[in-house]
Amino acid sequence: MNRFMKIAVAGAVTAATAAASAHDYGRIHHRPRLDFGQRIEALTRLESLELFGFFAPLADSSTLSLSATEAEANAARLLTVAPGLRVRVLSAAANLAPNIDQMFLFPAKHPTHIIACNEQGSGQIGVQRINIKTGVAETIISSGLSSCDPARVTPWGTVIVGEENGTNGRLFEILDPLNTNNVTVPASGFGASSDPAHVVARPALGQFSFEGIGILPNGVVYLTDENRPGGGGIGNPGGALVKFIPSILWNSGAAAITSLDQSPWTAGNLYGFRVGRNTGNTDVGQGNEYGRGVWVEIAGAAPINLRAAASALRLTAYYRPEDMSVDQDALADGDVRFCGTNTGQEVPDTTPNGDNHWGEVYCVTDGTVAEASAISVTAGINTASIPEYHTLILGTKDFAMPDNLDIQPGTGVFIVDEDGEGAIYDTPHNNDIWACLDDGDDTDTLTDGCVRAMSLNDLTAEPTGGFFDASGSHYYVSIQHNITGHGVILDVSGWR
Amino acid sequence: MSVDGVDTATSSVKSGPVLAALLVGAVGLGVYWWSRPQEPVAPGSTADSPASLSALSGEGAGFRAGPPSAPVVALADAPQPPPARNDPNAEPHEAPPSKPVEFPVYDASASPPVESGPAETAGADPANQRAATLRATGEQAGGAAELALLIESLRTDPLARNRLLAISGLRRLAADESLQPQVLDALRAAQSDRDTNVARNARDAYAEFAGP
Repeated sequence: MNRFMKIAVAGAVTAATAAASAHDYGRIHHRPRLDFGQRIEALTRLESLELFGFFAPLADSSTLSLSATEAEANAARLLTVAPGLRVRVLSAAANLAPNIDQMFLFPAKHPTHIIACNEQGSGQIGVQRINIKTGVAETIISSGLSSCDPARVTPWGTVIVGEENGTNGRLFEILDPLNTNNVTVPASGFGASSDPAHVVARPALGQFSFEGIGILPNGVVYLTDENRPGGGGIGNPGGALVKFIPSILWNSGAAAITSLDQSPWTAGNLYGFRVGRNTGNTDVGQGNEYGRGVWVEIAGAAPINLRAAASALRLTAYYRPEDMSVDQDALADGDVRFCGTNTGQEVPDTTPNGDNHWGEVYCVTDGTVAEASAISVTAGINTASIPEYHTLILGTKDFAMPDNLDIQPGTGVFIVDEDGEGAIYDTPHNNDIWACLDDGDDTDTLTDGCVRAMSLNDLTAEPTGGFFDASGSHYYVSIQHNITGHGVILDVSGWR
Repeated sequence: MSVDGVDTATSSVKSGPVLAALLVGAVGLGVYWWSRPQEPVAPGSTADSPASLSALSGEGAGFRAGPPSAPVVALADAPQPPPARNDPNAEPHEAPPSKPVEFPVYDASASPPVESGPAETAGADPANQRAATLRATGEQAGGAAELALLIESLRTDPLARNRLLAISGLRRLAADESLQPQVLDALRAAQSDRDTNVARNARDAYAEFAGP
């Protein structure tokens, strides 16, 4: 932002504050109507172009809910975006699965398709690829997956997808996804798929409700369990964070694999994140959920029940951990930092179930890539790296139940999809997509500000799987279980 | 008498009844203390002994925290409390455990926690459980039971979102021409829904099958 604009912004904030406070002369303390925090929020909105790349944020969530007829006529209308942004329908094909969740571009260089999980039952489509020019959808895994949710491309050119399915959840690896069609996998267990040369399960990575996947270039991978606390009994923990270190690390400069038995994820070791290092790593339990911790060895024969292991090993638990994104800027510096969401629970507090636990976005650092990938176990603790967890964004009634997130390449802005319950409030409102700054050089560890970038126009839907292309100029997002009954993927561009 | 302008004589007179009341109260408490019934105390026990502690916890007065035959733990054998963590002098001198022996290891043969399925549905709010049912119903091949559920939800569910889901399901059921008359009746009625989104969705769905 140039100097003139900064002066104009400062003037506008001052004027807005003065105008507001002019009405308060009758009050005892003559306080301005905008308190200091509100002025900071106003400044964040006014500097939207410089901070977030669009002219101005949306003031409120949309309350509109399009009809199927309206959405079929133009699916781009399912999303209202901030001034300056544009929406294109990448696909609204009639056969695009209705619950598209996490997705990514494939191949990583010169992509031609989006590959996506469909979060439905084992009788429905599990994984599809969508041509990014034509929008044509084709099916890779036609059945057997329950609640396919996370999906990523691996550094060795394969695809990993996971089931969000409790202790039955599995990870599957797919080779050559552009030429693999209509594969079926067993509805449970680790039996062979109908095309074992192209789709295999990965028991070495254990079992829980897979959601967040953060992959380092050498194949080390961080995984989260979308588990709510109290499941199966009061006091049971929520979802844990684990790390898998392959027995043989991937050489990030090597060519893509040609056979699934060459994958680094055939064997390795699992470690669970547990906050608390004081007094010999024993300050562990409720009350210690952030700060520095340890990686606890999870030993056992594959597939390990990671939810049971998390409970037994007293791993730190969070409220429904969801998506995860590796910080590429940190990675470029040789460091490990990844950020994810804990969804929480947002049912209105006018009902008995309202917790007002609006979720959070957190970030974890794990030393350098070399430290994070090493194994040095003493008394059940892998001491090679020290993980450290901090909240970055604390949810609010406005910005609730964060689900998917991505960090925009080039700017470092976090774009976060809401999976909130606005539709069941007395005045129903839609889920939003938020833009948030990373933590800057101030003294805290929290975001420097968030604004509403987009809002859905379908009270029956939620935005899922939002991610950027490598340039940071296109943001792709699924409008999951929308009113049309089929999938819709939108392409948002215009970021400045 | 006045000292620095304060009338102490008047002050003494005013405080006299208060002091007298305090004196009477103190004497009364003393009489009660010496005449109160004595708790049985085991020989050799101290004020902190288990017997005294059990009296404090209510045992012996009818309350039983544990089985009557539970052995009494001698004070010397009782687990020692951990050092106070809020003692600023204690922290630096605490010897860290040689290994974290307090943590059990993962045992694959142990019973896993109860399976709770995807977190979206496990433990969901009743309104969201109804929504999940409506979504599932709308995805199925329609029959009389599904039709009845969707129509009833469209008429009575207090949540606009759920009535929208009912319209969506009815729209799909209407692909079966035999169900269209009932679907259209329900959609026609819903066009006067108090929620503008529901009314507009009902109008468009109705027009899709009956024409504008």
